[in-house]
Amino acid sequence: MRIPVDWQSAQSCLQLIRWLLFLSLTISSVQNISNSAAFGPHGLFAWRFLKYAYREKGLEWAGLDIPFGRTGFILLNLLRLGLLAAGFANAFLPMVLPALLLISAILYIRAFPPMSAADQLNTILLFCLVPSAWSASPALRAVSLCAIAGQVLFCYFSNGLLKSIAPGWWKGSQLKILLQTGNYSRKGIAGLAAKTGQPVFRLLGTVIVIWELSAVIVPFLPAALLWTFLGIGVLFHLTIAVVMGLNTFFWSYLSAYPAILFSWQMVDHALRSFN
Amino acid sequence: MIKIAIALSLLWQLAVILFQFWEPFRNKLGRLQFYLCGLLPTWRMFGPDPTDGDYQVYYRTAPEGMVDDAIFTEWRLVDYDLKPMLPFSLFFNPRGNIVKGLREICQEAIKASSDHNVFYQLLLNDLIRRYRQGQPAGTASTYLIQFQIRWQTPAALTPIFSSHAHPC
Repeated sequence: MRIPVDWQSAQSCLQLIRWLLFLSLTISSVQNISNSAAFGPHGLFAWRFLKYAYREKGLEWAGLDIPFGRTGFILLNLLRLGLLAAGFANAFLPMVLPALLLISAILYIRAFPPMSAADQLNTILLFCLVPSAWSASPALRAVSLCAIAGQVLFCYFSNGLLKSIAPGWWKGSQLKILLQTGNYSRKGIAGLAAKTGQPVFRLLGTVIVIWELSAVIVPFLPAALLWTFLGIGVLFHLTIAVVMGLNTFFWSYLSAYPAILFSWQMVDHALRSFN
Repeated sequence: MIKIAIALSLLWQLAVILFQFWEPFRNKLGRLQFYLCGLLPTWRMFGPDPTDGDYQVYYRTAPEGMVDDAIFTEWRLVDYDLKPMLPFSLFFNPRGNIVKGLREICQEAIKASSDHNVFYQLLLNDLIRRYRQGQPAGTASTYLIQFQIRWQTPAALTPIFSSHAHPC
């Protein structure tokens, strides 16, 4: 059996992933710069205190005071924005992508308290994109895309599994309470959630758990169900961004969707070749 | 070459699966996981433990010099949770990071057994800055500051941690 790799499709998917990921990283860096006071000596994430937490993690080097201070933090983000500008122009990608991976890793280490799952996914995406920029091999590009799809689909499945063992998600009570918090909701939405009946949240909670769990079978679904899965995903992340304020999740997860499409196509080709 | 890439990719995927569900593997990796910067991710978004509330940070101040019988002001809420307008937040919401960071810091600070705890100090440092910024320019008097972390659910607001009083 030989699985055909659609070279054009792989190339288009990688291009789309890069653009969406670059947009996610741009938003992240602009937000970091906007929050830079929090990374200064009197801020919530001041390095002069936080460095003692890193000592417990085995990181102790006086030279880090410069790049991890406020000015260094701003400069690292500006450098990342410069690299992203080159990336958007498709210039020097074999050098730009590893440099972005390195700087994003440094920023991740520096700013670990506010780092989220979206930042973890960004590292994964950059890591998978580097080999595809170094080699023109269609097969390697296909492996990169399938690796991205595998990671993001497992992320959904894993989250679905954890929610499924918490009875509050099936009943909808956890979603209802979550939407009444201050951190992950808005005043209007919180008021609406308090007034809305439990059956609505039971339905929404069940849909979320089933949708996340179904990620594991996505590569084997018929095309119509695949598009339904992706459509729900876009709506899900858009809602999370607007209602819960987790905007980087939208761009990071959306970046991985072309890889899911490509993997589905690969599996579809493989299954057809059996017939 | 391509076979090696496939093998490495599958091994990585397996490591991620083990990392999520097998605690001995997580413990064995220890601090290495932190330095992988997300390549061995922790996928735990709002499950299985419920997210049923928020940490609220309050502070109060008193003139220094009467530590034992200091007359403190009322507790004042520090509002870290201001969100921008709806359409804009998709592209720019820096407060989201602050809120996430604050949750992490509060989670660790409430476990602090002494005021030398890093996360306790981070919170205190930020509150002193905020307090000083709110004072009129040229004010030089020294104050005591104390903070409290409370857990806010839709039903109740419960104090869960109080700091010592510190000069600022």
